[in-house]
Amino acid sequence: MTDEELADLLGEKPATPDPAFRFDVLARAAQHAQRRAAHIRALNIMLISCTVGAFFALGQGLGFRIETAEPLIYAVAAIGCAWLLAQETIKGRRSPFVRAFAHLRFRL
Amino acid sequence: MDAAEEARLIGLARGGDFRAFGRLVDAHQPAVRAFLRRLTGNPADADDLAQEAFARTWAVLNRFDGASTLRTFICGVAFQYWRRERRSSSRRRARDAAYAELADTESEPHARAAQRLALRQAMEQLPEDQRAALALCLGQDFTHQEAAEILKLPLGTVKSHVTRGRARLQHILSAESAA
Repeated sequence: MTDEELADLLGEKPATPDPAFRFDVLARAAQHAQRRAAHIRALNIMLISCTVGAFFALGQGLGFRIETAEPLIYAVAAIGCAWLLAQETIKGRRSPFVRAFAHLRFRL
Repeated sequence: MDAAEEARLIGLARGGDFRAFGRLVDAHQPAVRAFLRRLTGNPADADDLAQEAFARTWAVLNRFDGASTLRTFICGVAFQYWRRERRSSSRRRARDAAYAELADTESEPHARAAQRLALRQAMEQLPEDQRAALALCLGQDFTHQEAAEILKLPLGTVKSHVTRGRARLQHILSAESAA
């Protein structure tokens, strides 16, 4: 018996490329990518929450009180609001840059 | 598909082009699926593993350095998946494979079905590397050199695995024919 016959007995090669197989592969690849992105998002949320929690715990440990830290909290809140506003202005759905980015296929 | 066209499609796929990756899947699926069918002895499991291997390849395409061919790279990923799967669920797999063997051979002539079952059982008894080397090299789909790259084994070891494995399968088949 030849090698080819042995190979066919063990498992024949698909005669032609199967489009359904390709679709299944692409669906799986997309699913894996979504899962990875979700993991990264969850990790980011966890890190940010831990950082915020650690910040307050450390502050309290070092003797800061709300009254003494008030200016700092206001400054952080103001910077946060400005950052959110900037994000919305640049990347938001009603941003004046949206069309330009779409033309340039450019992403910030 | 020639090497230049493949390199162009790989470049596009790295940039996130699903259509280019789809063409690469079409080009390489027969060889990868045939390899896994011979390795697992079960077309459904083989296709499942092949899909996982291609999906993983999409995720790690940036790590492909072009030192080997893409087909070799994908088969290397597929081999790792097969080995991991085999170790994690050997009992369930053995039961499923036995069931699949019966289902697969129902529509075949008796003599061929008996040969196929005998071969599958013989393959099951071979060591992992020898089995994989045979699955790669028997159908002339891969050279010994490519098999060595996929299995990360020395070339001489692959040649010896193929020669010994082939002799063992031929022996089992002749015993089957005699019976």
